[in-house]
Amino acid sequence: MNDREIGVSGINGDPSQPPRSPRPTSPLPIGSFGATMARGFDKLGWHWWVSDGAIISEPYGEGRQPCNNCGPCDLGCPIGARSSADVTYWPRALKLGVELRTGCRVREITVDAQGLARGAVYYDERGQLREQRAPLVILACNGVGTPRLLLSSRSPRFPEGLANRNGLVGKNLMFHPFAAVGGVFPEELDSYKGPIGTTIFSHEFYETDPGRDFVRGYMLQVVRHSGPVSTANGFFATPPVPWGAEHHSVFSQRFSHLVSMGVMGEDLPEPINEVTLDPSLADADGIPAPLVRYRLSDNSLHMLEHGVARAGEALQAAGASEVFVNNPLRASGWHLLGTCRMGDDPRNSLVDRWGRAHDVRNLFIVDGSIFVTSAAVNPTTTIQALALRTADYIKRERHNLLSMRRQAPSFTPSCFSQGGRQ
Amino acid sequence: MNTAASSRYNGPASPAVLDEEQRRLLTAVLNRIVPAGNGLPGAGDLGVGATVESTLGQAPAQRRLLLDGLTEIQLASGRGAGRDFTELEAEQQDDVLRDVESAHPAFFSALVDHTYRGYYTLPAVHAAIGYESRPPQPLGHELPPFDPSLLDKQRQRPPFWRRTS
Repeated sequence: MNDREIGVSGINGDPSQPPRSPRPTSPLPIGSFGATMARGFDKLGWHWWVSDGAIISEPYGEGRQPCNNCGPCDLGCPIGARSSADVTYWPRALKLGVELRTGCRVREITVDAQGLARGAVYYDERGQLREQRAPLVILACNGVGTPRLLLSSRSPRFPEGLANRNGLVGKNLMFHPFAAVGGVFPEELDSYKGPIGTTIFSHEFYETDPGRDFVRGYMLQVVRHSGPVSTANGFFATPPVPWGAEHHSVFSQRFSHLVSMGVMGEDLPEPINEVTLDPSLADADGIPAPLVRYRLSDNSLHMLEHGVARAGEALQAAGASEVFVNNPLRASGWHLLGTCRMGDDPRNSLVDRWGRAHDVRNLFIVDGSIFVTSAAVNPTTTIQALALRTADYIKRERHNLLSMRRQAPSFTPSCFSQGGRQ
Repeated sequence: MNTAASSRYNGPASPAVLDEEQRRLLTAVLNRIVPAGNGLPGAGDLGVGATVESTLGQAPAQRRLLLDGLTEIQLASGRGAGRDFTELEAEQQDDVLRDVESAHPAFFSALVDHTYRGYYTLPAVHAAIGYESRPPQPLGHELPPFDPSLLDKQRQRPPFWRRTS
């Protein structure tokens, strides 16, 4: 349902995944660079498939244009082809009467005498402290922001942080262990033309194999390059082009001749990887900063080593003349998961199957923090699907939920966005 | 060469950071980082020094890195060849720069990074390397649509996803 709501591109029939609903728009072009890598996977007899993308390849939705392969998606999409929330859910929510308050920072979620969430205390866009009362509160600050806010919300009833009676808020932080591998090809691949991000992928090594020295597995992603500056300065696995006499010859070997691959592994939940509050650091409003402790497990290190070797084989099978490895990619860890895990048992989980906090029954969480396992796929559409599921539940249960708090104010949905204020 | 280069130094975006002598030095250094090629002069003679000055010159810490680094280049030239960097032969200049690169890696990698940023955003360089010099939008890029027959071999494989209870 989420894929239909936001508009995605792709093609059905992938044998590595359960069947899914028809893809709303056809696959994005993979270019000669994607086709070259597909030949490499085929030669090795490995699985590959064209990636679903949260980018529309054909007209879809209102006021949006299909992708025209311009390239730098990470700078924001000026034509609305990328199915980000600002062009999908937000316009509709605003039209339906949701009030979005930007430039705000929530300091804490307060509780009433019954131990229910009373509302949010926040600094508004001018830095003034305000309180917003609410019959129910939904958090969507993801795997670092949500535990930060819960841990900051201390009260006599919840001295260790809101909804944290079992002490698990912030524990079991999962990223996706990530390594980058790059290949230089003799032929020109136009690898900077087209949307950045995964073009094709392989699930050949996704599942546990008892013959390997690690459990679970990883996805191999084939990733586009951007233009001349990132070729010269290095990108992903590819190091900078050397300066000096050999600069031009090395640059011309690489520019438009590069393929990057990502090895994205499934992370395991481990209590020692955690988000706590920094004892001294705070933001400009005095809200404690999160303190993130994370280390790659031996399982992840073995997995990445295995994946890097396989990515190199795929690149060579596709014809790469030179292979670069960057393992692990230091600037990864962008999927923030697991710190407020879901479960039926309040002793070992924070929220129930509907994202409803066990300890605070009018508090919901809909973000990556409620994941119990990480899988080895990008999490956004799963987060969105879980949010829709929770929304359905709240709608179904609204009479009970909205009357939980005595003297609850009338229900005017509002939403705080923490971005935008300097 | 110096006249041509300094004629391009008539207005970095941020307040001037370098004096004329430092600019001549920077021009000579950039001509070795990205030498003449592609049918074009080196990065220094193409005016990339102005970009480096305005980008590295903005924040105090980076400005200090740039100013100290240029002085280190002069000191290394004096120690090695006993002459100004700008008076050395190309090979001698490269030797000096390699020394500075190993002794002051933070400065040198920042210098190379910003030189590349300046050089590879010049329309003349784009033309020389066969890259269309224009904004990404509104034209984008023409690419042939995905050919579903590429997946024929994969479609023959039976489903291999793991079923859960």
